[in-house]
Amino acid sequence: MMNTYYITIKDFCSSHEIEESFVFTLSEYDLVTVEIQEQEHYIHQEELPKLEKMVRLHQDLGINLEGLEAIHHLLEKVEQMQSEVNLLKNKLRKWEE
Amino acid sequence: MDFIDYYKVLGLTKGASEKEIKKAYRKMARKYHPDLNPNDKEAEKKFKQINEANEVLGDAEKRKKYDQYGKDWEHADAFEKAKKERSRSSAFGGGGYEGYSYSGDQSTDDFSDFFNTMFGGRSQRSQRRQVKFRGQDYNAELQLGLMDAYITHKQTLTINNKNIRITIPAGVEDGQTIKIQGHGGPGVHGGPNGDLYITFSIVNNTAFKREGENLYKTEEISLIKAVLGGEITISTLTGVVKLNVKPNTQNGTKVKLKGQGFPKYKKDGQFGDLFITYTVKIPTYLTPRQKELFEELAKTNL
Repeated sequence: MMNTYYITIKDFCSSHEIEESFVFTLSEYDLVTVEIQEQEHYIHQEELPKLEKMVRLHQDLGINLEGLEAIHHLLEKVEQMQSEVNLLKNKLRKWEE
Repeated sequence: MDFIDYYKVLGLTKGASEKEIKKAYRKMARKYHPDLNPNDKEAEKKFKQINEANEVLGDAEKRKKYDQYGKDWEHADAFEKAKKERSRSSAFGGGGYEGYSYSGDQSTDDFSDFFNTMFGGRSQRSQRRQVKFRGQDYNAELQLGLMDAYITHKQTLTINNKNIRITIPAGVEDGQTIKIQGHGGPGVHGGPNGDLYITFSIVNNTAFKREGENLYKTEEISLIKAVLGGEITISTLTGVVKLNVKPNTQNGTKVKLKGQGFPKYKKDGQFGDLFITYTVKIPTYLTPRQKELFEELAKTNL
């Protein structure tokens, strides 16, 4: 039931009131994947949460692109560790009285 | 409803300059920003509080009013007015299914009752997670008993007054999160809806310990049964089985009951195993006759 669709960068940026160049720079940093179809630039819906997070961090906290890249990697690590902690917690429960 | 010390929230004192307030707010926003603290409810709460503090202290008019009334805020004119519009609804409805508790997060935009009473509505100037395109993601926690996770079943949840029916697959883990696409907040300007994330909290009140699809239990056997062997009856999660204890069974011996464990997640009809650990019970009281027999045994160098 996965409803996949693409969003034009134009629509995304006008809704967020940001420059399109911001998204293209993020894609140069491999933080989002931009796809081109018939000369229009799109991003996949699945990329939206990540992209919007970058926009918020940039706008709310004034984090530059290098910072966003570093944060992106750290957050990935945090999430990995969180699921590992959860797994270990579930394992540990076996030994609790 | 309690008075909120907004200066304290930002780590400041009453005489703080505009510049100090701005600096403190920015510093704390960087620390507690929800995007930098995934799945951290405490940080989210803190972020909300500092935003509220900034909304008041960062606005000359609001700050003046706040400073003026201070702890006597209840006598402020706004109080009476706002009292009428106090009943506010939270972002999530209650549980949709009897016997389950269900709690979602409050909207990140919610300010305290204190704020709403003193200042009425809110302005648009402070940082908050305004929807700009894609809708907000909702997070909810669903509490289940272990046996509820034993069988795949459907359940109706009420989220923002909308009922949605979800399937809870057998074998779901404690702490596991599932995503329900498109059931979050609405998007704007043609953006897609957010998603609904449901995290399961599984309460295990049974005598079994669970690790994924396997179950563990300790079973006490008598000294005689351990030595001579024999039949025992033990209960599994769903019934009882007879087990044959082998002669000379050692304390701590583990036996595996294949397929008597928990259902495997998303593998219909497949089950994990049940592991039984035997603890041999040493008698705490012997009749004179039993003692005599043990003494007899002792002579055999057992």
